[in-house]
Amino acid sequence: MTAQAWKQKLEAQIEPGLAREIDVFEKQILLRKQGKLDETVFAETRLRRGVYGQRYDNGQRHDGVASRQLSFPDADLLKGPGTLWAAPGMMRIKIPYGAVDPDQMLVLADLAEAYSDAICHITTRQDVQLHFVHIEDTPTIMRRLAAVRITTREACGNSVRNVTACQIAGVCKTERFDVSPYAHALADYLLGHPDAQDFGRKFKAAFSGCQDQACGVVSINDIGFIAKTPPDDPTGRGFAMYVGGGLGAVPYGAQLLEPFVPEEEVLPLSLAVCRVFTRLGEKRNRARARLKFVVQKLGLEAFRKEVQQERSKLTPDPRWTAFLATRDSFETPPTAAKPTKSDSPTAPGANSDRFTRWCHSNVAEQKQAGFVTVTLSLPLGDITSDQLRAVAELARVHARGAARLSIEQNIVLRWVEQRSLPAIHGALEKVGLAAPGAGTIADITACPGTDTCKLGIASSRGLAAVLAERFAARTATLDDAVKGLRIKLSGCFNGCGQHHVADIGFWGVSRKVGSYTVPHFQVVLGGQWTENAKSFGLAMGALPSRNILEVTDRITDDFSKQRQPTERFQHYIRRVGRKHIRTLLEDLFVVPDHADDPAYYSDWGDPREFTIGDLGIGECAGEVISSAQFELAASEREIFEAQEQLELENAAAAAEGALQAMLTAAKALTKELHPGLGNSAAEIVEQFRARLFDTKLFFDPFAGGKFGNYLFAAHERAGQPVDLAAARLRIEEAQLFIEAAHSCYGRMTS
Amino acid sequence: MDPTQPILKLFCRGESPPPGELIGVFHKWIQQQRFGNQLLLFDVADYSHVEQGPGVLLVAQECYLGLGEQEGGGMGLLYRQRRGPDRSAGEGLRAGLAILLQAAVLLEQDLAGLQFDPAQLLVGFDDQLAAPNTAATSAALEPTIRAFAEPLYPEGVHLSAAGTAVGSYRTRLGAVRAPPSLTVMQQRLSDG
Repeated sequence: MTAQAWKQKLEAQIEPGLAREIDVFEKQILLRKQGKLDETVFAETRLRRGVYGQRYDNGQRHDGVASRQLSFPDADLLKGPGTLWAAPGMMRIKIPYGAVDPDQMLVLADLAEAYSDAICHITTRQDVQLHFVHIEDTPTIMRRLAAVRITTREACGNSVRNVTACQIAGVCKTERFDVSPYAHALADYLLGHPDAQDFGRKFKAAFSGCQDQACGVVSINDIGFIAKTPPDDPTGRGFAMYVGGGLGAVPYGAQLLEPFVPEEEVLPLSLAVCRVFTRLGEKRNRARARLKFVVQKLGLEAFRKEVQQERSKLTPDPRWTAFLATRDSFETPPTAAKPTKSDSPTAPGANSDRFTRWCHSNVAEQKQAGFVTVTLSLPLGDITSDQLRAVAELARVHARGAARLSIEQNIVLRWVEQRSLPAIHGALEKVGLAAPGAGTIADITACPGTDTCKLGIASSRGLAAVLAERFAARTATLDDAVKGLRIKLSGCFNGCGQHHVADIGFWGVSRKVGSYTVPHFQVVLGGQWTENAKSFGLAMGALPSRNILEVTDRITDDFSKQRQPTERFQHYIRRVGRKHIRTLLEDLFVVPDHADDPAYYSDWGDPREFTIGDLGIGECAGEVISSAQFELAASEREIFEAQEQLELENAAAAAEGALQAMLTAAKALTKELHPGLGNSAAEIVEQFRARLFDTKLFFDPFAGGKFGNYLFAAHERAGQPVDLAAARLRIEEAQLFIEAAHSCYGRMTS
Repeated sequence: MDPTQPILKLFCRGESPPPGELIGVFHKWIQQQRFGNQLLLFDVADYSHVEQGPGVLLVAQECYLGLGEQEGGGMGLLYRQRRGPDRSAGEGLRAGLAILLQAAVLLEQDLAGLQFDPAQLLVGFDDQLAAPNTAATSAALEPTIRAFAEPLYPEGVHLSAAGTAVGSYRTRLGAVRAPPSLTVMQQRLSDG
């Protein structure tokens, strides 16, 4: 009834093409309910509409004692394999380059209240996510969004995801030029484009105005553009074009495809890359299906030729250049007289210490004199409906309606006159959004992790909340170099929290301790956020989740004390090396007995006894350490030694060490099933394949056999020459294999 | 059209418990399915890091129950309907209040020191279509709200506007005289 009423009310406000698409989706829902549409087909259909799964949607949940069935209604009706129709899910809403206006913010606030938990969650790709959404509400949500020119189309699934860009594009003091019109044009052009509908996996694009800043973090995208001006034409515009970047289990930095692409070539060249990806990208093995693997497999030169070949086949399209006619008026700057600084702040508290600190961290001058940007630091990317309504009003009154969501999960108001700052701060104080510390160590990024994500292993948000609170309380006394560090957390190896490119990154894993499973975080140090996320951090090992606060304290204290003048964190990590950090943290690797400290055996913000994926059953106590656990520990030592060899630039030894570590872990598991196993590599691989891989016992619930294949590939290539890049990759794969071995052992013994 | 998706909030008297304790209690409620067949409880969402936020939410298939500062400018227990049968606005409010009072009584038992103040109740609907927060909506809904509130507060109740102009309908009910206890309210609700 309500759905129909909304449809009628909004009919005239929705672009007809979009309205038809939503009508079609509504019919697909009906067909699925009638059993006339296959559940797998429906799953991809809804994903391409931004309708995603959420934790517990398989109808199972571990309640701290046992894994129990949740009696959702209509239990026979599925919206995808193993996904119950009535179980709530997540809705991802694309906000290209994060640009939102007040009307859109008001609708987002209303939707969160009516269909979600009254919280909008800002993601690391400038999307908005709503959780606990029912599938049957999604067409109405789509219509209400469409009425304010927002689509959820291709927000998930094997499609072109939200096109991201620097949140201060257009007002940034160091940018070459505003990249927003290009991001807008590309998002619009590729949305629903027939040549971008048959990928094996997702495809991410980003734009940056600056080479040196973090900006749009181009390096971690499938395709990325950094603004350039040709040396012989200061008014000319173009981009350095990068391809093949991506985080995930094994991160790849994007490679420079073309040093200068004229602006009119951005759209056709992007389409050419999409066509290469469609044609040559892996379709069956999802683990190897991202563009980065196509680039790696072909090599950059051959990939470039493929792109050029596809480009030559394209029929000219007026959209390639149409947007250029209005690029300079894309965001109309204020016409009012140039504002000046206010000599006498007009709001109460304008001279307070909190206001001063807020101005210092959250306010930045625009390139347009007299104007500033204001960053609203959202805790873990969360904002309530009422807060978002207040921000919409502030944007309307003080920011000329201009706001951007950032990839660090904040909101940035633009075109703010300096004299408005006291009033804005006062208004933000009233709604609980005036926290200082944007862009500091207290402004932590985290993916949803075990809170709502089906893939989450450990509680990234639980830990992030505690870390943020801890650093927020201490920022005033912290060394400036420490204050400027970035912490990012992911709940699993997929890296949605972008931990690889943080100064201090964490990703969730688990470890078997006795008969218990204990939440841990892998510590990754020295990633580079600046220069478009230029380099990835170094893994230091997995530590118990409960010890991560102390881990962070020790590392930041050591950096503060040992830091050479002007030395940055990345250089410090590389200078002191893994060995130093391991020694610093050595005692923190230990998990106390359950009887001595049961807190280690549950996760942050969740008192239930920790289990993986809510599929386990209650585990009885026991203190016996099996030989497999010893072997798994040995494999970790071997991978650490391989990393040391890599640091010494001894590629062959590093690669060999990585293989050995995998063999040790494989042996640990295989011996559990075949005690007579010998020590030769060939026998271990053969028996591992037969007993754990072919039987799928080793398979990760979500990644399948991906990690097992790392062992087979490394074994096949044993003894072949390797360079440092290949050795590094082998080590990263070995780390994932060892993680998978721990998980497998957990499953085998639960 | 009758507004749907009622929300109701009971405010706290004095101190509220630390989020950690509440999370533990809510997990236990899921474990024990404390609402039997009335609600399918299945998750706890911790938003205690959000100022003026929902605090800690107990998520059920039918509704949210959260102890936090969201709605009405103070700490309290909020009921927010998610899904449910088609009901009139008044029936929806009564069904929601029954759950809210049951949860409040249980929480007072499970969390030492926690007390709710039945003298005030925030009510509304998350329904922008049928109930935008306007004077016209207030006027149209006043008879329904009074019919809902007067049996609960027979000695008199006053209504005052709440919420934001751009949000959905909200109003605050205040007892004119000494308020009833939670259990008396439960009794009056079932009698009504």
